[in-house]
Amino acid sequence: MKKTSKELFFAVSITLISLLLLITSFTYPAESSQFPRFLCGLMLLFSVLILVKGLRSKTGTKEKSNTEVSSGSIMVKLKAPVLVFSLTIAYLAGIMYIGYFVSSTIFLIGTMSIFGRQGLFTKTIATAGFLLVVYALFVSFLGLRLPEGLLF
Amino acid sequence: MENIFSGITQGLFSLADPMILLLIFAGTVFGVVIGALPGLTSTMGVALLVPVTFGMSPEMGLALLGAIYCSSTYSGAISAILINIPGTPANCCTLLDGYPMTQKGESGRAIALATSASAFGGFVSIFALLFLAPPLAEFALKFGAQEYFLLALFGVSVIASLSERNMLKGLWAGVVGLFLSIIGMHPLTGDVRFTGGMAELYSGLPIVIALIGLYSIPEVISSISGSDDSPKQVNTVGDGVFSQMMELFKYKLLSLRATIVGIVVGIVPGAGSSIASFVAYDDAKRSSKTPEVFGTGSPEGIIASEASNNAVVGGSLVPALTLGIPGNAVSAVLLGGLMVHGLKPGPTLFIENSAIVYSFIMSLFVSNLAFIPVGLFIARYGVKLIETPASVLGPLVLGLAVIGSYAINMSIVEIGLMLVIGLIGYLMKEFDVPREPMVLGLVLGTMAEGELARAFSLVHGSLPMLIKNMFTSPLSLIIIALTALSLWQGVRKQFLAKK
Repeated sequence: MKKTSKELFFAVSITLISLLLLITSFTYPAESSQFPRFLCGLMLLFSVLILVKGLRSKTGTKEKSNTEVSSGSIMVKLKAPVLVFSLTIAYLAGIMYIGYFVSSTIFLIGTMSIFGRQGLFTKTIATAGFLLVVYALFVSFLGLRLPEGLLF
Repeated sequence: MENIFSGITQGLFSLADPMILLLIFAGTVFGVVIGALPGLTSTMGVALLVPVTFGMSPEMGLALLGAIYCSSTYSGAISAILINIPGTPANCCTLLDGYPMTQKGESGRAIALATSASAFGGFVSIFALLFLAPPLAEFALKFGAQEYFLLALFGVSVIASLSERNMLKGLWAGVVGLFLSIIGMHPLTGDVRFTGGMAELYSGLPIVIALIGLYSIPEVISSISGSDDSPKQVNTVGDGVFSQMMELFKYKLLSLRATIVGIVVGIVPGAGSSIASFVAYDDAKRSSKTPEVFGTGSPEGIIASEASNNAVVGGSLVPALTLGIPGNAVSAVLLGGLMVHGLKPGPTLFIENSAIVYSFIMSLFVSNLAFIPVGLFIARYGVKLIETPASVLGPLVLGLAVIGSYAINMSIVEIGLMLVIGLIGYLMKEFDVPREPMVLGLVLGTMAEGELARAFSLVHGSLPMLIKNMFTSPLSLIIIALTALSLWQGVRKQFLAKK
């Protein structure tokens, strides 16, 4: 995907979202939606201006060579965010079903193993230290009730 | 003036509580570690610990957050000097001379100078906060609903200078921040808007969750994506550090000038520590007898950069506490921390909650002293922390973000909200959209909508009447002029940058 195409994709997306939000703002009573309508209108205006700027720069750089990013490197670039979000979502599910401490242990050691090549000792020490701090600070000191699952 | 001195006495009394002193120490250790670790910013450090303060008294919570702010702004210099990577953006200029000094085997001297200059800058700036903020707050009592609305607009106008690289995207991000802040019930009518039926959003999007998501998730992703996961080798600090700290007194005038630059830049909303650091560094180079040494290991360069960026702390809190306008992103997060404790930043803060405010200000003095031994200790013995690979640090930060979001209302849904905001933050970073304007919008949006609604109800909903009032009140006119000036300066800066 070229850099200008990426910019255009962004501009088109935010324009559509702003338009959708502007339409939605008219479904609320006028008295309490004047400010939201104003903001959505502004959002749409800036989105359109970004789109126009993007279109202009695309025309301007048509002749010039552009930074082309291969689909392979896009996949490499997407690997970290996809992994971070999917692992954290799985962690949330784990918190709900098997409890906070068990799922945190699995999440931390698992994520450290996926993202690096550290030894088991480092991972265990980091995980144990983290859980100890959470227990001391949030459970003992603040009296926070952490979710308990099937185990504890 | 009498009120200030009685406030100082109150603040000093609160410091007699050993728990507050312990929290300042804990906040300092946390802040020094966060600041020294590249990729973790002061904003993120303060945002991550706001949920921890929920169960504390406001005095305790604010002392903890203030200590993180002061110490993390300083400790970014440690990694800048030792491994040529600034711990926070505020320390960018420090590495220009700090790392060359390390290469010459003078890392101890460089860290000692950075420590004493930071403490000096921070200390003087808290004095400025102490004596400038109350009169400004007293003046701000003359403000009515329309002035507050205009003040919020003035705060938003700062976006122009916050988004130098791409003003259009910055303005868009600011409006998105304002929009996110109005999700939930209308301040006067109580109508629920844009919640998607989620009861958790009826009282609005929790600002702390938004801040955790915006600042932690994108940083974790970018640190994990980095190809180099190998531990970095660093030199440690040697003996005689305390005598080297005294070298600062050879550069008294330079330290004072850099501190003043930091305070002034801090007071101007939107101009952060990194800007102060660059301005002071440039000023020091121009006024130095040996400008050619700058960039090759000049002590003056380190002093100018560090004294100014720590002086921003006190400066940025002047408009934050008195007007409710954050001077930079960290003070915006700190304002969120104040709000969490039920305090309303603004002129009445110094009247209704003077004990809490003065206790906070006095705790900042202690914080500026506390980071000296902590920073030097970490620079000497705890420097291995800087070597922590991203693959270990990233998951720990994610874990902290999850527990921090859950702790706010003990709700799993709010962790989900944090992830959604994290995704927005990641996309913003990917598409080169600045995040600071969004934070500004989030902080000022509630005030803008509430005050606009009140100003409207005072003129029975008549827009022409409201506009007429705005252009006939001298105070409103001053704020409108300042807003126009701020916008013009932002546009001019961008125009000059393009040239």
